[in-house]
Amino acid sequence: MRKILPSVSALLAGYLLLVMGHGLVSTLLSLRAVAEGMSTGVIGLIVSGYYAGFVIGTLHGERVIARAGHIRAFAAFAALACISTLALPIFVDAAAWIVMRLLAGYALAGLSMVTESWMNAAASNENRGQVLSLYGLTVYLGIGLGQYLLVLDSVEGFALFSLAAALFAFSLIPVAMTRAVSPGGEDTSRFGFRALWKLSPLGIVGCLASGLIVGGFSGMAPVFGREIGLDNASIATFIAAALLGGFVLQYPLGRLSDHMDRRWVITISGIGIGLSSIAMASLAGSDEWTLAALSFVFGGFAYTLYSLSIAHANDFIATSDLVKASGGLLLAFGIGAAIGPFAASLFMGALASSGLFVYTAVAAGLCTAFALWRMSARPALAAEDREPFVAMPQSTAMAYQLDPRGEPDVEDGPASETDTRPSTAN
Amino acid sequence: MSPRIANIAPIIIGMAVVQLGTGLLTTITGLRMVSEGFSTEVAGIVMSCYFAGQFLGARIGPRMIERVGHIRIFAAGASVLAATALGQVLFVFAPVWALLRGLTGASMAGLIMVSESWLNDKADRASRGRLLAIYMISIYFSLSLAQFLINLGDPASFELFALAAVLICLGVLPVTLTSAAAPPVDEPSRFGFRQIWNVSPLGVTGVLCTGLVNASFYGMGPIFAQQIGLDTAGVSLFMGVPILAGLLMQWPMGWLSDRFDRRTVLTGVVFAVALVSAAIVPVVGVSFPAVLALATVYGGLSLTIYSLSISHANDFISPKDLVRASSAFVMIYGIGASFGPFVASTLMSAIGPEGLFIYSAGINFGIGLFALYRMRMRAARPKDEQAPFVAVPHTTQAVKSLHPHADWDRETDPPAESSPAPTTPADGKG
Repeated sequence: MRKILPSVSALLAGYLLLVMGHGLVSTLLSLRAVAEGMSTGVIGLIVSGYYAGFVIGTLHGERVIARAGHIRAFAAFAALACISTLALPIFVDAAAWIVMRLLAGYALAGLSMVTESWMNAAASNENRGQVLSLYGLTVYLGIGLGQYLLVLDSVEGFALFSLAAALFAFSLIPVAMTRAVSPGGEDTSRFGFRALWKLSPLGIVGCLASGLIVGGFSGMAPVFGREIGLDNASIATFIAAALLGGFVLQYPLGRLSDHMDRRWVITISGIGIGLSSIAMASLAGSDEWTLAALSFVFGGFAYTLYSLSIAHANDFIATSDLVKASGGLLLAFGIGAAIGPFAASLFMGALASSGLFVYTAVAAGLCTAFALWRMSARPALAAEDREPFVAMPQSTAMAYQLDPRGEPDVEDGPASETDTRPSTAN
Repeated sequence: MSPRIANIAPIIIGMAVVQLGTGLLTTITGLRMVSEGFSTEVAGIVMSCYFAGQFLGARIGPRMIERVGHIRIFAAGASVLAATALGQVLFVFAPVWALLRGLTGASMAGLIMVSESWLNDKADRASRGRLLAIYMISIYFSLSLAQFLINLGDPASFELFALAAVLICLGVLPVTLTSAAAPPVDEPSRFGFRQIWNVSPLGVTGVLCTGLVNASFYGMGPIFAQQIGLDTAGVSLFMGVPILAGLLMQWPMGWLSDRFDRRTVLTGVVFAVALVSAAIVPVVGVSFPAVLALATVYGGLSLTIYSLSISHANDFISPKDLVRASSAFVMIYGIGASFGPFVASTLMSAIGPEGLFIYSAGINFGIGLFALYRMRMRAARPKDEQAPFVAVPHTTQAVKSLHPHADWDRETDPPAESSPAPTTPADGKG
């Protein structure tokens, strides 16, 4: 770890500022939309726009990185993120906001890909897991800290948007000024959904459910908090508690899934999400600390569901195909996250603010039912056939290359020869 | 020409878009200071801080460019620019604004050095005039257009500041995403004030004049316009039209300076600016159309002095010294510009708004006299120490060996141990 820090510290510093800005602006925008009197359905569309942009970014961003290189691509994406944020308080209009959030999602996907592939290049096979957790820590810490910037000013002004934009602008400075060498390009070809579905249906469904739940929560929780009368600081705590839960429960749940049928742990998580959702829906009027505690439990299971689903899918995928498979799994998450906020907003429109957690309970329930059905359809893998669990932050395909299960160095040689199709350059 | 355009298009477009943002920022900074009730002196100090910052930025910038390269410094500088635009609207407080304007100036110095040394690296003697004209036209076009952007919002609100930041960030995209190669940065150069003075005293003087006078016009022009009773639309007209004239005059002036002796053209322009400035003074408060017409002539002439001076000097500078030479010019400009707006604002509060043009007339007349004196000196002594540099432009070895200063050789020659003393070629100490 001491060896790797100098080569990635500038990058991580930049990325921390970036996710702080992102954490701030995503909550801020939802609150501002409430203040502007936008309906929950419209707010849901705006948040969904962000994740749709993110999906597009994961598909297209690598081309930009290949063309401009990591550092320049980072600068370009950060500038784009800054622009999309500054435009929000200038054009207070739902359609403009959807477009800007699409752009922001695209930029954030690109920025995450640069960061992850750079971290990957800096890591060795021995320390990949540590590097990944360092990265995960940065993500959770930055988004959590970003929530608390909300208390600095009114959401109805422009100042917080400017602050977020300034964070995006500053994020590129350590990266642009670093002397550390940035990596070359990587192959990021993808597995099709059909192939993935044959290997691990629950892996896909789990990722999709995780997107539906996490996407819906992260966009609509500020609206929920505002509607039940929380102030900005309490909303920040409510959301940060979920992130903290996600960070803390990753490891115990992950270790547990290495020792028993992973599908049971997915089932437990689904039940945990469902119960904490129902509790939040019915206790919406209680004090902020009760809600924060429930949010901690909710986030703990919801953010871990993603890593568990990945780990489960990876049990059935050949080591050399992990990175390729990751693209498909991520896409499933992204599609879920793009649908989630809008779907959540429909529940909230029909059932008032608590509808958010009725929605997450329903999504978790369906995922749990699917897991139980799969357990009856396919026997459990023997423990020795399972790949070890690795905590994954929800992010882009590049993060999978950090996954120590991938070990690209060992597998790439002979396996790729049998795989090579006549590549028609276009 | 066309491959050259492909090599310089990203930096020209990027710089033009950034300047659209910074031009807007400069004007709304001036206007906001009036509406916030800052005194004219405080406004002058805040504006001067920009150029003080530019001086410091030019001082440390070359080292940073040599460290991480042109494109990354452009991106980092632009991001600081965007952040300062946002900072100004978050903290409306004179000392903070002074500091932020300093940061803005420092970042602009970085961007100017990147773009000018990039351009000069891609140019040769045959194309330099045209490339520099394209660059200047795009910048003046941007600065001119920027003046009209203030009509899109209220300088007392945040939108225009945010718009400036958006434009600055947009400018990052073409530069960072280009596949054109930026100039290589291999060895640190030791080119500085002394060398540039030796190469072109008139270039240095011309750039100094630009700093003293044009910076005052950019900074105090909007305040002049408000003090003579113009509304926001009138202010943008008063600032925009002269800058547009400066844009239109780039080609003709560049063409003239290619055809005739650049020094003669430069001296003529400086005296003409002095005359026009003097002519504005009596019509202030009498007729706005007359003020606008004269200010247009003023802008058309005085805004060409910088490119005339720079193109004259750059013909004699070797590629590896371009970043340092650009830095020296930015610093010389900054020296002029740190004093200019403050002196102009002091005159304006003592005499009235017309003080701005009394100041401009005085400075240009003085510089013109100095230029005449220098030309006589050169005519009287044709074989003075500048001549060898003129004769051997762009030949690094030749320029180096002719150079009279020891530190130059220490930096670029092999260490003394590796080359026996008697055979050290052209050791120009002396």
